[in-house]
Amino acid sequence: MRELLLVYGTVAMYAVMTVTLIYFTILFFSYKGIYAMIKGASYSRFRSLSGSESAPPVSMIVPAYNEALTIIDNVKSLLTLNYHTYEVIVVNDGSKDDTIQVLIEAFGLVPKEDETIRYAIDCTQVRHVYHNPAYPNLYVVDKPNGGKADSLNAGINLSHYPLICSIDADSLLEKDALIRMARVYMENPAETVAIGGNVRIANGCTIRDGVVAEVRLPKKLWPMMQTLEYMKAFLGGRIGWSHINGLIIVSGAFGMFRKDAVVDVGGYRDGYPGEDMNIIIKLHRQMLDLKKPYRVAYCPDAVCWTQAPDTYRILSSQRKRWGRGNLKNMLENRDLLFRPKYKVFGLLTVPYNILFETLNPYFKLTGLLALIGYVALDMTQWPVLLTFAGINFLSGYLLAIGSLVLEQLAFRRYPRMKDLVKMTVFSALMFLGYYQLGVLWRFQGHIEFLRKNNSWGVMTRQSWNQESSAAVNQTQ
Amino acid sequence: MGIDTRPEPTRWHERMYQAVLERYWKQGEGSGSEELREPASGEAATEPFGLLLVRFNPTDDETMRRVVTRIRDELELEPEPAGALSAIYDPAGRQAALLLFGFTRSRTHYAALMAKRMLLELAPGPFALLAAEAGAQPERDPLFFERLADRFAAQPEQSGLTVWNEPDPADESTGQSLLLVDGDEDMRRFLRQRFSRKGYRVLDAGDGPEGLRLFREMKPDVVVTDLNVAGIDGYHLLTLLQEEDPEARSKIVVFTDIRTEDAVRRCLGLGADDYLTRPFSPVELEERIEKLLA
Repeated sequence: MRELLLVYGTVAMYAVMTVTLIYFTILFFSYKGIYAMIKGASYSRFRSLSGSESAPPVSMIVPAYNEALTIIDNVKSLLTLNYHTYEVIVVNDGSKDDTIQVLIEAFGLVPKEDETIRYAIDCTQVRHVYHNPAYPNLYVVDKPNGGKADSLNAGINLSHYPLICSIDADSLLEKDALIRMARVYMENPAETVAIGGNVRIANGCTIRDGVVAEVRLPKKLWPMMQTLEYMKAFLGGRIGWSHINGLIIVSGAFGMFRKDAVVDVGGYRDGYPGEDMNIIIKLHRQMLDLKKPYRVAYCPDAVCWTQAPDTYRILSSQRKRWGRGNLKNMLENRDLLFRPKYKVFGLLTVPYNILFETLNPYFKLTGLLALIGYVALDMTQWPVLLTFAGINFLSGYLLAIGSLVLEQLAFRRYPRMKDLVKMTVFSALMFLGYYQLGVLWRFQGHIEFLRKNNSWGVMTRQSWNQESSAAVNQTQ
Repeated sequence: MGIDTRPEPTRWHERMYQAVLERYWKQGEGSGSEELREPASGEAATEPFGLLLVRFNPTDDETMRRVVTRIRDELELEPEPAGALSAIYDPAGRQAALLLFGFTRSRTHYAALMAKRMLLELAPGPFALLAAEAGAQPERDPLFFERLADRFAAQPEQSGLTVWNEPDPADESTGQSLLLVDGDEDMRRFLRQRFSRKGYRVLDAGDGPEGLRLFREMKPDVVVTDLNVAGIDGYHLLTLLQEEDPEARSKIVVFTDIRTEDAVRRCLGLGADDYLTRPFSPVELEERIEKLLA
């Protein structure tokens, strides 16, 4: 027993050291990436670029399921982006509420009979395509319920332009978001297959006319934690991963794809959450199988504001869903693991994700058990243990601060000193409970997976107007 | 409740004109001999002359006089012959005009900026300040002062300075109204200034709904709109403007960053009269608008 625990301790120590090293490496690449980005952006005139013929036309696809409460405002906001040619395709996924009716009424839509849909990828048969010449950039697709991936596929089948952009119906794009993303695409149009956008938490911000007018930190605890978590993941993580072309996920809330590449891999996978990670894995696999040069890029200055769950119930449900999706994706793609053919993706991204993301709960759980074992067998040396815990905390905190500094260097979205102090303090507080809960939720997600629970879980929509938050719409 | 009870000119602008006349005659006498010496200067003998109109809510007439006198004292950089700067008070109170004889346009502008800074300190509340340059031969044009006084009366008291140039009488577009719809505040301010100088009555809106509201209320002669405005997308805004004004009495100029042919075609199809892309030449924009309104 003692032997076992000793071996475990040694392994765990190396594992922690490895993951910390990876984290710091990625953070380092994030800094490198952001430096290039700041320099590039300072020479770009986005407003002018947004009207230039050389920016490619984009089809934005907005899957909507029971979004009657907010869909009108969001579509209106999406229709006023700074971009010369784009279309907004809202896909009503057989909503149980009157999403389609409010859309038809608000925009005076009529069925468009002459629209032919080429079913290039599988999706449920579309019932109607609605359009109104007065809103030439808006299309609304009505189809029976088939899930988010199915809606995205339907939108891709209808889309008229070479780039597609997936957006959650509960998100707001900044007016420059599309052109900033397109700029990244235009830097290397031959190789870029996907671009991720930066997702920020809008809770606490003031929204006027579909535009985030004033940026503030959320007042509630759960959204506050998520704000920091997103910042750390997107800025400290994804910029770095994209720098070495090892990005494994482009957020479903806001991402841009080359349509031909998505059609080549058969579109989004249906019937399981985690479709946003799945499509990126498929793209990596396809391009590496074909031995084509390619790039999955990330554009941190293209910002999408989203509403974070603000109750324990909804947050845990979301995280369990992510846990399930992650596990499913990893099981399906375990053959990529350590295959030199798959380069950075197979040698670093996938192993990192399996070992330190998917299996993270088991490390933590066994670690806890081992700790109990050490104490029970009186093997603990408290000074060593505390030193180890201290180093662990400090390195974690350093990473969190690292992404805060990155945010301040590049974006300064939270200019108030008060907010900065608050973020610094909460970055430390997250070690007391929030991260542990994250582990728990992921574990629960795995249990759900084994029980073949395949639903999307609870979701609520809140009106953008924070004052009227009483109007919470409970769905599913 | 006049400040001054002299009988002759009773109205403010008449007093201003009176002062200008007096100055003119006095100059005529003085320069009589000069003209003999330098006959070549002939026509250019009329000295440049600027005006500064001030209005605020003084607690009493004394405050008004004190503030105006202080501004005058401050402005007399190099002591000029007496009367080079004279203050004309409105008999009805509240406002005063400083006649800046011998001030060129740029010097008038500088004086106005200085006066503004002083008013920010001295005036008890919001004030209005207008700087103007008198055209050629003001002594023959009493109506100029009346127009100036009327223009000043219409100016709101927002602690601001307006520079007013009397529009060229040859300018056809005088008095026509123009609505600017653009999300970029700097662009709006720049265009507003340029067009007001040209004599347009300029309204501006930062987003689509506000633009539409102003359009309904004011029925402007010309609308200059961007396609990327908040609230309503550009093409739909054009459709709405067309619905509001089916006979197309207002001319619509699309002024935008979007430079694709498709957008031009669409906008002209939706009732736009002209399409101008940025980067742009302000002169070209002005000329095109004038042509539309001709």
